[in-house]
Amino acid sequence: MGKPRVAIFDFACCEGCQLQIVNLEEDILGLLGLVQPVEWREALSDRSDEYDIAIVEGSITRAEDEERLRGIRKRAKLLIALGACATIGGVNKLKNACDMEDVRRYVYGRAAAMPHLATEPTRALDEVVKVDYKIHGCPVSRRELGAVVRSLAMGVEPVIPNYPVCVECKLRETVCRYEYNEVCLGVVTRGGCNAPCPAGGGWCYGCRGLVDDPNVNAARDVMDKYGRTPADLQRRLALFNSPGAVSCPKS
Amino acid sequence: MSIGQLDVETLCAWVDALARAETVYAPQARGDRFVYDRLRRAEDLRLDHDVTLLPPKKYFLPPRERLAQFDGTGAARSVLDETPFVLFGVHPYDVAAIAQADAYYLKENPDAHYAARRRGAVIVACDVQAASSSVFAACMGTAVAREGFDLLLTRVDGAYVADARTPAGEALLARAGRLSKADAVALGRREQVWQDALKFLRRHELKCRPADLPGLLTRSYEHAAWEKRSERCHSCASCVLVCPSCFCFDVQDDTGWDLCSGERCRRWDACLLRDFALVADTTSARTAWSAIVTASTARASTCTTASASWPASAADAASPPAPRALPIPSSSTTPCWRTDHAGLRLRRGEGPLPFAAGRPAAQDPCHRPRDAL
Repeated sequence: MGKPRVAIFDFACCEGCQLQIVNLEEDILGLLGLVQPVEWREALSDRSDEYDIAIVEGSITRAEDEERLRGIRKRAKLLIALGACATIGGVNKLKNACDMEDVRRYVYGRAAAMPHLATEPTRALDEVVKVDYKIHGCPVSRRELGAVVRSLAMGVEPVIPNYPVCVECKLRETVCRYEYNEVCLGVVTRGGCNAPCPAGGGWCYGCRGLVDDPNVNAARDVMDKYGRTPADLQRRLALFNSPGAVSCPKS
Repeated sequence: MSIGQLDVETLCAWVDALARAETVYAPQARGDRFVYDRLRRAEDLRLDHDVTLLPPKKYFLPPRERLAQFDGTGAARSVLDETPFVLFGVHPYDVAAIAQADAYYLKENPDAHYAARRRGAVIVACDVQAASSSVFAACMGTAVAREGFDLLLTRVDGAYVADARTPAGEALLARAGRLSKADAVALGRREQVWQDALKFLRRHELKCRPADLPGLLTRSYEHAAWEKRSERCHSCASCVLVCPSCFCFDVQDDTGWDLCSGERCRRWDACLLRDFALVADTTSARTAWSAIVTASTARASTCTTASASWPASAADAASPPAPRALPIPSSSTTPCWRTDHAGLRLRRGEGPLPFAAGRPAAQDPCHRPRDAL
């Protein structure tokens, strides 16, 4: 049996997660020992429609994107969503609270009427097709990316953490950011990143999406304890986990 | 075993010498909190710490540790960390917690990795000088350490009484040079420190004897308190992870790109994390249990059919995940919960403590360490 054929695709995103694969540096030799890339826009000039695994970054914002993704899904045995835009919609979802016509005019100005700029509300990949595995983060962690690829190569279910970032703050002895009057999203955000943002003196931005069962009552209690309101939390959540309830700057 | 008295100068010289020659872990200031960390010099030592971010269990059971290494040939070898170290300045309740971890890890199914670290450790306990704002040691009987350490330091009138209880503690103390004798006055003052600790290291009160707790717990599995607690639980496991006596772990393999070599790692896990309770068919044992309780409650009150309620968790697992928006209600409807179970009532302790409320000053990076000792 030959090496599995892998194709890497991008949709609406900054392509930073795809860049993380290029950034594997010497580990890239290990990766190439396990899989054979057949399409990878940032690193390969070849193209192919025959592949086993599709790794897809970016979110779906246009009808033609949806059609293309459905085609990828049809051809791939396994589809992996790479990075926040693909797994949860990420920052691209900020626009969902706005009128799409406004968004087009605000971003593209006079070119707004061009057909390829017909942007629609943002969707994560799993809102369009079935996604087999998600590698979370903005950007994804190279360590986690490598671990997922190796697990799949061994036929083992990859371990994708499903606990809040608080766990990793405890393990590395980072004092809770609420103690310093910050609003941190770590309490509801999926860990696995090793909590670098709170440790660096910031707060968790929620780029890995919410844990499977965030406890809303508990989140409200934390807000109460520190004299904050659920609106404070929701404002910050809007950046990566936008439910669509933010006001948008008018042009 | 010997007992003597150290003035602060002698203590500092001794600690400096130890820190140079040995691996010493001790409480130190980091930002405005205290942590156990590698001690490089005596002036970083904070024997006046109130409580550390993580308890000293991290040196016997590291948050992440390598258990074994394996290579491409199928050969594997255990990794045992036998580096000797001195754990300096451990509060009596943490001494008690280490003894408890010893019971889990050394008695029935001895754990070689824990044992290797434990064998190499010399524990220097220190009586509490600054009380944590939520200390409850006295009501659990752990405000004063009677055993479980090699050497005990107690601050008495600006000096320290050093009490070696084991040959290892004796050998460590011998490196302090000639000790002055701890006289009857100093020993009397030390007794007073212990009496104060037993009396005052309780900001919360336990309305039963600690020995009654296991029995109370066994009888309280069905108590409504658990359901109420879980309504407000983040499942972040912070409580369990910082707990000096919690000890659960997960073991995972980290395999190299050749898919043959790699290492087996152990890292802290916690019963309050959702995936800890996952069972083979990917339902959560906890959700299933909750469903049973809900089902039986529903049967009792509204005669809902049992078959509709019992497989609730399996049905949940099969249905697509709910939308990920976080519908936070704008006003609080859940009243703040207080323990009201007879015998488990917590109440605030009374009266001023004869202990300083110690916290490092964040704005003052140049604290005067000699004052702290």
